[in-house]
Amino acid sequence: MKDPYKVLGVSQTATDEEIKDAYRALAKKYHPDQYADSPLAELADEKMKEINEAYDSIVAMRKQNKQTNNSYGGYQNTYGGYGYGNQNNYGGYNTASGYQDVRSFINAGRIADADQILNGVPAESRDAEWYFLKGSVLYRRGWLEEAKEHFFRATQMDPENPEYRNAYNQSMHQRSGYRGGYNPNMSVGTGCNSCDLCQGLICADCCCECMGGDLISCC
Amino acid sequence: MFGYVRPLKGELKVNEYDEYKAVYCTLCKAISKNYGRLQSFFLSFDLTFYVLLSLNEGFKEENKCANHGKCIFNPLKKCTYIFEKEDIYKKAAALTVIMSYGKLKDNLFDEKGAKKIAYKLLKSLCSKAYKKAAEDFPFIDEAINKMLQSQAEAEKNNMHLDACCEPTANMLREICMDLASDDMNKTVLGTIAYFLGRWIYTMDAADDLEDDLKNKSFNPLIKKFSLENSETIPEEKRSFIENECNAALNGNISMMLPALNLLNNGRYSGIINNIISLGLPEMQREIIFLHVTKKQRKKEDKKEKH
Repeated sequence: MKDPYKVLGVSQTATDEEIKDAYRALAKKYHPDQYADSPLAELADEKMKEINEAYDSIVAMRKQNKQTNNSYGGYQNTYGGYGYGNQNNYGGYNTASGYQDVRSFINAGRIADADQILNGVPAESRDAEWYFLKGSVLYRRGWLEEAKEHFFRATQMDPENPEYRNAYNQSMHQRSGYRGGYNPNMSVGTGCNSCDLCQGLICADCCCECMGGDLISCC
Repeated sequence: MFGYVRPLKGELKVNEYDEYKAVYCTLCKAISKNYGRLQSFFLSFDLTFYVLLSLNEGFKEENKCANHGKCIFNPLKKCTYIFEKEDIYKKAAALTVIMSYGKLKDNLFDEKGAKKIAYKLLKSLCSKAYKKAAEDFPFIDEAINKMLQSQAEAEKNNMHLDACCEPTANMLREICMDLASDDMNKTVLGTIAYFLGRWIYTMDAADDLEDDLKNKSFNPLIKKFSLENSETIPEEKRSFIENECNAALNGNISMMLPALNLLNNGRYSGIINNIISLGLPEMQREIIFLHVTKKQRKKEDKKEKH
């Protein structure tokens, strides 16, 4: 087994708090939510297991040490443990689905098969679910723009359906720049430039002078 | 290629910046050494990123031997060259040569008049280097040719944006998957490269939209925004188009970042992270919102290059 401290990227002398922070940061990085519908899910899951194991073993080791040292009380295990809970599962929602076969193909990762069936549906009988599933197929292929269009169409045809809405919202969220990229409306902390600095100093000088003191003697 | 894939310099550590420059200069030298000095003019930031990815993959140990030497282009400037893994640099050099030759062929097809003659001349000057590179790495040549072919097909059929991105994305995926040390890394590198390819193509389309409208050249965004009958971007639509292009680019970055988390922690992880999570968004800001033109960028780059 790998050195659990190395897995978490902390030194052996790190405090419990530091270890917890490192664990949390890594757990966020590999969190399965990011990898739903992705071919990388398996690898992310492995990493997640690795850091879970590492964290558990460090906690166990330290607990043992503390018991033998008999200095502190028992260590409180406060971490919640992350793992796979809610992977997107196509088919769970809609029992009356007309596309059960397509959903099971998508779940099994057989995207080409799912696409073939969907393409066989004549244009006039394509309903909201068809657009949602087609969008899912496109999304898994990486065709993000088309996927978004299809999810949008599905939400328009059936605004009440939470499954379609979720998919569309996720697409929009990815495009917003909050998950990486650039958002023109997000204020960037630019700090202060030299102009701000001078202004601040002059202001401070004025304030000082009001109170009878002086900050910048020449003005 | 296009020079869109570069780090955000201000956020690099000083040693990372030096390392980036050294890789850049070493690639330049490798191109010149293997395929002739003329080819070094095609040196790009994008291919530097490719070298970083491949060096990051296999080699954790630090056993590089840096040497200082004269810059090929500017005798007054000193460059740092790293002598290691020459095969990787050679591969990147070949990729540079083959890609730029492909782009030349493409330009030759598009242009008319005096420019066409200039491109023809340049193409004949480059053909020897191209042949050598294609011989050295036939799989790269094959991948690029496949890309050019399917690109031309997609453009001929006036396909939508996603389909037009596909050739570039697939080509990059194929070439980068070749760098992986095992199967798992193949998926990770493949995912990053695929969405990077999509990002690059979309960025290029957004960057060229104005020119393409004027020259009536193909651009997938013309169809997307129904601009078939206009010669410039209509003012009332401009901000919508900018935001849509930016959103499409963001979508690709949001797919790259999770894959980036799974990339092996290697020597250049810091720089690679910087490029994808900061460098690409910065390009979006500069090109889409600040309208920094290609000419201005070239000028800026010249100050840095050579």
